[in-house]
Amino acid sequence: MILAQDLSKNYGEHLALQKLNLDIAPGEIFCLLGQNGAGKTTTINCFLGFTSPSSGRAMINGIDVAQDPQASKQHLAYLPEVVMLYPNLSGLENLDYFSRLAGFRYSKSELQDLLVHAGLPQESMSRYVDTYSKGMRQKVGIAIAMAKQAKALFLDEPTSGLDPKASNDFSVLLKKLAQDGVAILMATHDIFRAKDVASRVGIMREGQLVATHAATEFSATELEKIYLETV
Amino acid sequence: MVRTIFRYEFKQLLRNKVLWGMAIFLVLCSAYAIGYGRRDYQQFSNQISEVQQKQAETYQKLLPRYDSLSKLGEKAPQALKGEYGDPSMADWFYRRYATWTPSTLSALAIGQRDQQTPFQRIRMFRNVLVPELEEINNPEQLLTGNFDLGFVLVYLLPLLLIVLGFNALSHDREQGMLALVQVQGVRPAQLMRTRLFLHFLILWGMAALLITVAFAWVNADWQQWPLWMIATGLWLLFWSGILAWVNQWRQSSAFNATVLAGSWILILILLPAAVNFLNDKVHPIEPPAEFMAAARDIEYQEWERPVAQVVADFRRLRPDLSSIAIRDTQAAQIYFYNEVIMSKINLQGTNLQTTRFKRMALEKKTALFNPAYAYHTLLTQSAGSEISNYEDWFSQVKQVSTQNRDYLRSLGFNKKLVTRKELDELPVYKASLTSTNVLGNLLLMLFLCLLTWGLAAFQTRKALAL
Amino acid sequence: MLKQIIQNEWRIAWRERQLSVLWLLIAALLLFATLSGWQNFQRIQHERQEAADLMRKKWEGQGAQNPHSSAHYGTYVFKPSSILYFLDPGIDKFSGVSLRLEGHVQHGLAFAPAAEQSSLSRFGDLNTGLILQVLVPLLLLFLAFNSVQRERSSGSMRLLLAQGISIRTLLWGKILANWSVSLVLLLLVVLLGLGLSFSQGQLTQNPDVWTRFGGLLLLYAVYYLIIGMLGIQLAAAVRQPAFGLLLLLGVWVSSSIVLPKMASTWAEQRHPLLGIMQFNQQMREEREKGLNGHDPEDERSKRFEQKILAKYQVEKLSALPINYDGLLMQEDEYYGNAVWDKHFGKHYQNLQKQSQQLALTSFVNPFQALRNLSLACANTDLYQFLHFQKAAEMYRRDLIRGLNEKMAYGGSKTGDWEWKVSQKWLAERPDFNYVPPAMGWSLQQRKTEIIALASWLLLLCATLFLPWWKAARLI
Repeated sequence: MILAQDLSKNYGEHLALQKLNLDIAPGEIFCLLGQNGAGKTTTINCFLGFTSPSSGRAMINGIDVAQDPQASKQHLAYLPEVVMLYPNLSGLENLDYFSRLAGFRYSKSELQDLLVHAGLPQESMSRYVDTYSKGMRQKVGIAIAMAKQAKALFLDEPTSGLDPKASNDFSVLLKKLAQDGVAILMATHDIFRAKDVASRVGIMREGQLVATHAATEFSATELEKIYLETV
Repeated sequence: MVRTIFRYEFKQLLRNKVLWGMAIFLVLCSAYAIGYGRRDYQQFSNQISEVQQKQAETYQKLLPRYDSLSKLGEKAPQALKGEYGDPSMADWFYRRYATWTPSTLSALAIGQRDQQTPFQRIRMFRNVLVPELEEINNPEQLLTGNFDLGFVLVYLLPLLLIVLGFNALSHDREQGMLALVQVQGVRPAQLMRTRLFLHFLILWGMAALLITVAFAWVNADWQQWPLWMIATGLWLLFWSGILAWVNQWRQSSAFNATVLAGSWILILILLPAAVNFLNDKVHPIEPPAEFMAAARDIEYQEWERPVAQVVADFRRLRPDLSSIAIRDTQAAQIYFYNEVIMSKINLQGTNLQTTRFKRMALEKKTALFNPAYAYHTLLTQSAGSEISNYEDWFSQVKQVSTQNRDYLRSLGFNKKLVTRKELDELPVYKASLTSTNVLGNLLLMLFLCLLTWGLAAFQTRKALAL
Repeated sequence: MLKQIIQNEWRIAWRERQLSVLWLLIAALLLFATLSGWQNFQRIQHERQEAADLMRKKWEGQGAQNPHSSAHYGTYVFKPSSILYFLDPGIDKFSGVSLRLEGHVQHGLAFAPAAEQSSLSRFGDLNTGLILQVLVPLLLLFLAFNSVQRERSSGSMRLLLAQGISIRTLLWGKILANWSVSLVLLLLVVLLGLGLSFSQGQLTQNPDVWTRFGGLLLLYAVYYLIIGMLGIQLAAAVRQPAFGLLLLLGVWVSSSIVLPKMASTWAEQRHPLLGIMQFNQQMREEREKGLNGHDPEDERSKRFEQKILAKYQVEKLSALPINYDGLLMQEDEYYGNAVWDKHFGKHYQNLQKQSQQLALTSFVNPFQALRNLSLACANTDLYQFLHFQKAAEMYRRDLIRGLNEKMAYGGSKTGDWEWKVSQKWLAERPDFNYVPPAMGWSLQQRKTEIIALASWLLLLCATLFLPWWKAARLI
């Protein structure tokens, strides 16, 4: 579903991404670990079509992103590190707006269900977003991603602003999405969270994917040790 | 998708305090502008009707005398015959005025109306090249300018468009919504265009409302309404094009605001000022001292010349009248002198008009780079308050003056007594203002719209590579 | 500490591409406008001098004339333009520049160039005044926004305040830094202007020009300080960057474009001027019916006739040793002058009221004070125009009185319209020599504006010392 073939990106002399190969099947959660600047965000941007690769291909559901960015976007959803929404619209309206932009129309109760599912309390749904905390916005972001019913989901540090409880809820949600056959690529610093949800873990360094492991191979502490050794 | 963006953008705008602040600002400014224009026009038309009333009063006062002249004919007492029966005296007693009356629409676009003397006396001894009287004004007020609806539309409307749309794209990028929007399958350019279109519609709608209310309030000619609407639409479209173009440079909101404020200054202050500057350099206007001195000398010296010379000059100048029988040589002298003096002054003054025409030609030429001028003159011309309208009127005044001279001469040559009948036949000015052709300006504005949108489209294509 | 802040501000403003480009652009425009304004001034001065010379030549060469014909022949005078016209041309374009002077009647000033032009002329002219009044303040506001907003969004404001800088020192530093940037532009203009004036020797002739240059320099410096303080305080008080910028731009547009027009039209309608038709009508009626309305012209002349006959102790006008026509005409002239004084006085008062009304708006909008004082300093304002009109009228009165008295006492008899005075005598009539008012006089008319500007300065200084300014407001 999510496929990278020799994906490379360089900015002048600087190699942001070097011959990255990646294949994430439906139902699989792939966690990218790595330091700041290791190329995680660049990888995601290549899939989202925000960055055009210097060479190699990024494919979503068999569609080359660089060739047909609009078509590839139909199959993917994205949750940024910090979800920013239109402050003058309520959470519900933001969800409705973004869903409609993606071509989905939901009834009000369906939208509410999605938000409840993402963990947003019922009473804050119709308040303007400018009163929301970061975590609440994150939950609307999750709802937006789910509402798109995409086959590929990209997450960029999605849990960085969430409290442990919300973070845990989020993991449960992700696993459920994977069970429904969604391929998920998640960039994160959080090794324990990665160990918890991922089917596979990849470690990046200086634009290269240096190691890939099945998450079940190790315990979280072992994984941390490997990570520290690798980077 | 466009409908969705539209709906939600509109929803957000309605919740935006800036929009409401702007709307209130615009409405207040317009209300003041229309109120001002209305009062100004009232004062103006009061002055005109006073002039017309005075003419009617004079006529009524003269009637008994001319009625008795009609009754008595040549048997009238010498005092009456000599003073009122004489054509040149009748011309003097019966003060007739040509009045310049731009339509009520000029309450909304005052143009050059406030600087012109809106009436001219029709009489034989009169140098028709320059206005007889100068209107009284406060020059500091003229320097500052009028606050009419035209000003609001020309200056403030684009400014509000800029305020609404300077961050049409940068806002989402800076706030972080853009990535999410793009992932939903919306192209940034599409988002921006829809937004700008919405802003355009909102402001055009507001302008439509204001123009309609203004037309009703000042009781303007509704035939001009579509023209005002189209011109205003093009003006806003032109600015939308600039906004689209600048927004696609993908710079920060602050940068956009600076650049757009700069373009506003450029288009509304610097460009017009530069054209004025150029015109002053190439075709400076200074009092035509030589003409004034020459005209005065002609008037004074001509009376000193022997009659025979003047008659000879007259026959040369007016070959069409050379065969006319002159029954009263003495009385006719006055008309010879008059005709000769006027022709000579006319000859001196040919340069006088040309500077004005040259200036206008230059203005027209530079209009291509001067959209504010194109739009503004469109409004003033449709209101009939532009200098060209005044020129038209002034040439009509000249025509009536010539008719008047010819008529008086025909009476004087034939030693005819002025009676009631002749009094009624003395030429008076009848208003027949023609509308100006504004198609050229409309096309110009259309072209400028295409230009800015062309630039924007070009920028989109360049940005698409990103 | 203050010095470091100022230096740092300069460095950063200079590195900010937009701002340095804007500064250079304005500087280039200023140089261009000043130089071409100077050229313009020289052309106008030359042309008006030539016109005046021509008219004088005509007067001197009119030949032997009957004094009354000569009074009708009259002459034309031209409003000379002030030297500082090249910095702020003021109302010259709108006021009319030539005035016909003749017996019996007072004309208005004719040939206002703007009346001959299309309404494009109402968009304004490219001149130094426009740039100094409109563009430089905009630059100041941009600078203010940049210097506050930049540090706030980058977080360096936090660091600075953590270093122990007092908030007032910081704000003052920014204000002075920005102010000095605009002062450089101002000095550029003034030095160039002084140089140009020196090159023509205009300056040495008239010490008043020194004062006027100084006045302009001080005026603009004070105004820029006001705008600098206003800009910094507004930018610092508003947290949202986009809103802050909008606010600053809104202040700029309202103060320099919208409010002046609004105020001026408001003043115009509060104290409307008479139309020329009504004005002349009223004067004519009072001349005919008498200033009090019950003293018709023919009764006045009858009385005067009796007076003169009694004075010379003769029975009939023809027996007078002098020319009665000359006396009567002068008597009528006196009466006409009194009527004109009354009506022009009313007109003057109306204009004054409009001006006062406008001056009062300076308390709301400092731009108004700047504009009016700039016109006053450059000697191109309404009051100078009226000063000229009055001076020309006084000259007319002297000239006509001389002619009428020559007619009366020069040796001719009543009813003799063929009698002539020599060309030499006519040529000896003094020429019109207009002395423009001095700086002190110009400023006396603008007390309100001066007070308003001073109040703004004090107010903005005071707000800077309000306890409201806390570190929390800035970060």
